[in-house]
Amino acid sequence: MAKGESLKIKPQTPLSVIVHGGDYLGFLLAQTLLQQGSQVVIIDKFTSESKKYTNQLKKEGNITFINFKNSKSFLENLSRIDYLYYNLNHKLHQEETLDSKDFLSETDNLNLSMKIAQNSKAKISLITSLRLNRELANRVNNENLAQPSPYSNMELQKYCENMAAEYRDKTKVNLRIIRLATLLGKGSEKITDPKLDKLFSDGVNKNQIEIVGEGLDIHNVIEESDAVYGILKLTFSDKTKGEVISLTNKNDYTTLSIAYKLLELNVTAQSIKFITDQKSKLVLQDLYVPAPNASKYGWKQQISLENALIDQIHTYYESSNKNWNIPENTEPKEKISSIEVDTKRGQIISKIKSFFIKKDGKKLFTEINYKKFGLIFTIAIFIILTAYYLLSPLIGITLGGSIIYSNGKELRDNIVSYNFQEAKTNIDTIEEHLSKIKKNTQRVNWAIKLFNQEPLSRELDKVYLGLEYALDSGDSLLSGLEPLALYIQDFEPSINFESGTPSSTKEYRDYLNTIEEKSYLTEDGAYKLKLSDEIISSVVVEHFPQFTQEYVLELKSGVKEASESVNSISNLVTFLPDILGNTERKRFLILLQNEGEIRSTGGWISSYAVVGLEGGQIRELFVDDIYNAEGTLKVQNKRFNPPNSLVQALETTEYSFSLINWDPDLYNVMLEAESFIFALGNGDDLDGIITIDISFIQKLLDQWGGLEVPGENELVTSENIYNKIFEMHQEFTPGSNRKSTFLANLANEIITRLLSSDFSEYQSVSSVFIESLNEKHLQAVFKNTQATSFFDQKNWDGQLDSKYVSAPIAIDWNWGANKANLYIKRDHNLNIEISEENITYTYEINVANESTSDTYPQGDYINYQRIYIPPEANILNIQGIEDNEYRIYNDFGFKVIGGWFNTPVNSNNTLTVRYRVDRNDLGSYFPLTVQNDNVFFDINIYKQPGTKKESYVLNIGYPAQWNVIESEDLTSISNQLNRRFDLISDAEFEVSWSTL
Amino acid sequence: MKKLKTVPIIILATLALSVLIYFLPTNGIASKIPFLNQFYTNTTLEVVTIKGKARVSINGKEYGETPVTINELSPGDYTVELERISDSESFYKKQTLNVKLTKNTTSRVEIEIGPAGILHGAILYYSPQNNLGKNEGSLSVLSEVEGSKIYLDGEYLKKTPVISEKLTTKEYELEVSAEGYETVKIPILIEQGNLLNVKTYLFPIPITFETVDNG
Repeated sequence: MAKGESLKIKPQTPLSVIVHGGDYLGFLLAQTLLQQGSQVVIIDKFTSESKKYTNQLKKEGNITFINFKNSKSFLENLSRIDYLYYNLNHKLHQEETLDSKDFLSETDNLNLSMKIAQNSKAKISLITSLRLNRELANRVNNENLAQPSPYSNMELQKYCENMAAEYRDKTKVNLRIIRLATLLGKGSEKITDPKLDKLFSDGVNKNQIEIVGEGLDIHNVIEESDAVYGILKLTFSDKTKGEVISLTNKNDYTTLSIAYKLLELNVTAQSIKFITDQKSKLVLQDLYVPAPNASKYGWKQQISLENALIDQIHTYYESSNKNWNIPENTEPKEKISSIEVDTKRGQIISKIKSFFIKKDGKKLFTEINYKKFGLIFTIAIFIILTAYYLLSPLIGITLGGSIIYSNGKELRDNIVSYNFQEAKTNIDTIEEHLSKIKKNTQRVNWAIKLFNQEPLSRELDKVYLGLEYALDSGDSLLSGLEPLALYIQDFEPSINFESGTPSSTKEYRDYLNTIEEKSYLTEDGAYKLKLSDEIISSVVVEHFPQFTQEYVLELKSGVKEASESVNSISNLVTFLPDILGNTERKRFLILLQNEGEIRSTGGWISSYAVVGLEGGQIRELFVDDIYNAEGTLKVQNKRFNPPNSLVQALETTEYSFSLINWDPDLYNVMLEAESFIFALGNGDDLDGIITIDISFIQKLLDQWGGLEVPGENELVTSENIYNKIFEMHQEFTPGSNRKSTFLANLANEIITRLLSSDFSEYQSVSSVFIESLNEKHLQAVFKNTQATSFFDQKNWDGQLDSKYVSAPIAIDWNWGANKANLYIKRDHNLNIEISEENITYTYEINVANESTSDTYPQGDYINYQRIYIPPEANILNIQGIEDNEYRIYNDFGFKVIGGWFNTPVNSNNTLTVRYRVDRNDLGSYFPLTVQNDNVFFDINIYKQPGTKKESYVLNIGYPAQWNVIESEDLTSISNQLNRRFDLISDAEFEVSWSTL
Repeated sequence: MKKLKTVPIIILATLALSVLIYFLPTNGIASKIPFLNQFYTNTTLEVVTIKGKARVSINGKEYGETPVTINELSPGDYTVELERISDSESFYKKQTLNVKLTKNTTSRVEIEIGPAGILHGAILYYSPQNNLGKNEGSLSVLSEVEGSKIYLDGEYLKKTPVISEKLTTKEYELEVSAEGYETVKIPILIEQGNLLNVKTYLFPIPITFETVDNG
């Protein structure tokens, strides 16, 4: 091709350029590339010897031959190169020494070829001589040998390799250096390694093979087709980029071993002759370490050494025009039919296959490297098991835990902001991850057992079970409480305590209906949450790792808090719609009782209010002072019949509104109040009664840090409210409305504050309500049976029912017209002696009046004392009643002992009552129940509303042959159970014995 | 060098596999694979009404009248609706109960539907539990009536709720009683490695009024 002539290259056809490709190796390379559809350019100084190859290649078409002289202009005009095979090996073996011009020409050409190839992003292979590299290394490593001469072929190889390596480092060109071993085969008429060439010549032409020295110098050889296959494979592979590779048979061979092999193959020579030559270069030790073998990159030797030698011997015999008696048992040479070049996907598959295939294997099953296969299989199984039974659980528990934690926080936020749909999604997510975490924990059970961490596992199980209940409950609660939350959010009172004039007609019946429909869900959810709390509360935090203990504690307190909050309101929803007037108007009486002057249901009635609710809205509201009510009734000359017990006890026939709480049963008080309310023109019946006292208001004020009340020039707090009411009471004149206005304004502010509270604030406010209900500073009883049942179960209804027959009930009535109860200290002692058939009670009340003067509000404690005991009880002894004048009568299912039990200023007094109850007399009301050799005794100690903290000592004696199964918080000594506690609410103890 | 590259790759692959295992719905996948799925749908749900008959629907799908036995439902939570068949149907409310199904176990609803939404009977289902020894299962009993007393084979165990009480695997007679309520007595089977959950409902005993003849 002339200078400047460009090559026509089809876009889809790869272009391969073989520099110095005029030898047999270049011929084989070109032939293979042409067969694979490549366009080939051979650049060389073509000689007569080259012609036999070029002529043959021309017949195969699509090939171009460029003279080395014109290579520069040709390469510069070339639009692209895909593969560059720089067969320096051929050049190196042409001449042992070079002149400087030739040296520079060669290096320039290499430099240019690489640049051009790099511009086309071609793959480059610089093919050099492994033999020369070995010789060079041995020279460097052996001081007996001189450095190579400046322009030797060895020096050229060294220079070209260095240049190529530097170029690769600078440009990251896709280049590899392939150090090719000495070629053997039928195409090699003369072996390039002189020593081997002499061996073969001697073997073919002489009787003896002459070996100079001991014949221990090492040779690397490769069969021609293996070399072609290797060059192509290494060039095509991206993994060889930047690498230096030795393309040679895996084994090294000594001169002597090849000579023996020739003798075995029955060449002309029949023996070996060793010649000592003092001039020969002495190789003390071959320290040469070749570059990694091509087999590392997937190449494998296909032709055995023996076959290669046979081919080579044939060629030498042909050159010498001699015949060779080839041994009969020599195997024919296996041909390589094609060069396997993998695509990228094929490379992956080959790589996978290569893991399991022996490097030198040949057949299907023998190809499998079972050792490697076993190793890889074991590693794979190990990885899977490690992942499944260790890493995945650990990662999963951590990951799932954090997801649950963050969703828990989101859940709380969503509930607070009434975003119930999002909250449900949070619950679903938590449920999903909890289930996953549980499974993951099961997977690390082996580790738990191994490290002897069963207690941790047990506690984890409890946490999971508790959380499952909590989540179950969450689903139900969200659906059940959503309408209630929306009702609270939307509610706006149409009238207030001050004005009483309706400002809105808005009602909330839809919400109330939905609350009612979904009440079963709320109830179910609250119960499950309570169970969850019970389970999680029993978790022993110490069994958890240190860094998780904080979270477990947080979980415990969180679930407890949630359970208490939910429990306090969940049961309300079953009857709340009815109470809020879902079907008809409901009217309730609210009594403000002053516990400083104790009365049966809590204290002297100071003020009252009547509230009418309909459709969830306040429809009527009236608040007044008790004295005004009594004045009104007196003016109207309305008279009412007092209960007989009151007449007997207080020796009065005048029955005023403030005396309606004579009966300690609040339900009866409601019934008593109805006629007064009717007479006052505030409705003909009541649906419920609610009592509050000053302590309840003080607790609320404490919670909020005080309230601003219209008409008051200072913040109303728990500290000053008592004085304010006391002062108003002192200054009261008939017709005055100062106290009722103050209370109405205070009630308005309380309700406004309650309605404007956010969800989280309800938790703290509801705890005030719960505490006050438990301590009976707040009581409520309704005609709605569900509501009453609910309040009764909690002991919040102020009713004296049969459950209290197990212990005596003390009811005080301060008739001294003072607030002496603020100065009274009281304690109780109750001894109970039990046998299977009867129980004997000894009850003692000790009172200390710490009043220091007789000036209001202090003074003598003039107390009409009533003790309620079972109706069939046999009274054994009464001591301490004034003048021993007591009355015994039956009232509403109880036997009542009544009499004056007074305690003057700064003195003490004691009352003792002893009585016995028999199973035969009480029947089903007998407090002991016997079932299957077990005896159960539930003691309910009644706390009178309005009383504050009073000390109580309980002692229970039982038959010596009984064994305690359950005794709650009672201390057991011998056959005695006892406990000292503060009676701040009704106290309940459940005891069981085995009689076996 | 190659080994140095391989080690982080193996570590990363193992970590990726670990995360994948966590997020992979293994049960969900296995329950859809033929043959394997039989191990995931091997469930039985029995719905029995003690007195009278009731229409049964599960997750909104009708299943006829009690007694009903349904096999091969996927494990999970189900909503069972029972509507008592009666001449005066308005007397009885439709009852909605939640039941859990666990693979290779039978869940049972054994309920009497009373007027005004009251129920008597029990719902029983199993769930797998860790840390149970050989021949050991466990029992949880909940009751609608707080503090109901639990007896096993006539022996008092404790009051409800009973949570994960470990028991030897065998059949027991469970008795749940509360003052003022009718007692529930049912046979139960404690199975190896499983927690038997029992939720009971008790009928209140009707109050009888004695009339006193003053004449």
